Amino acid sequence: MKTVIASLFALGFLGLAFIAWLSHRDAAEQRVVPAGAAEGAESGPGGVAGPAAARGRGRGIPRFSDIAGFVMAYRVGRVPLGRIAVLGSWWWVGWHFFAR
Amino acid sequence: MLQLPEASSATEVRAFDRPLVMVPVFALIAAVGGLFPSFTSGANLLVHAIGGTMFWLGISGRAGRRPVPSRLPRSAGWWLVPLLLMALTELWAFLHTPDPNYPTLSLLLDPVLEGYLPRAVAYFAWLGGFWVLVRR
Repeated sequence: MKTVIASLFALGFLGLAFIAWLSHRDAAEQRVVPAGAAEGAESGPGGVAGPAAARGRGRGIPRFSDIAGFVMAYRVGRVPLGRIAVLGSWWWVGWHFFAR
Repeated sequence: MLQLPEASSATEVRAFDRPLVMVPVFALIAAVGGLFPSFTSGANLLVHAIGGTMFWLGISGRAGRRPVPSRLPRSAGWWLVPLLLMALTELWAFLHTPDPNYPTLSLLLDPVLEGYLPRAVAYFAWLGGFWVLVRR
């Protein structure tokens, strides 16, 4: 069972690396594609098209930092709840793996 | 499609926010951080000193911020595929704690992070990720 779990984690890391690679490639392509060409190119896991199709249609996968930035912009009143949650989570990750 | 109540905008980018400056600084911190094994006071102090500083920089916005999208395309959902796989695997393993046949991610990584070089490299990655978040 240990091997199965380790393999699933490895698969997850590989998936993250693949999506990260796709998103950076998309971001690089979008820097040279006119803004109008990116319209109407949404896709997702619920759609019929895959990540490659999303890329090919001009919109592409957002980078993880864009998603993090989107979440971090969430506020409740004047409290930057998203920012506190994301930065706090990353702080905890460091503590959990390097110190606890 | 998701939408925020208000769009975020970029603020001033500081002069020190260049790879030429930040990479050596992070490399130095990672080189020191790699020296402290887990469960020691030194490791805890360093992580909390760095985490606290980064957290403060991120909340206060003193490091400047890059623009963030006010909307996310549906293709952002592709990130959920590997993340959910890992989260469900972690949950599955966690529910079987303390059975050693069901190790969590941290238990699997502990032997790897005992070595100085992998620990320092992981520290560097953590710092880099933190800086990316701080600047968003």
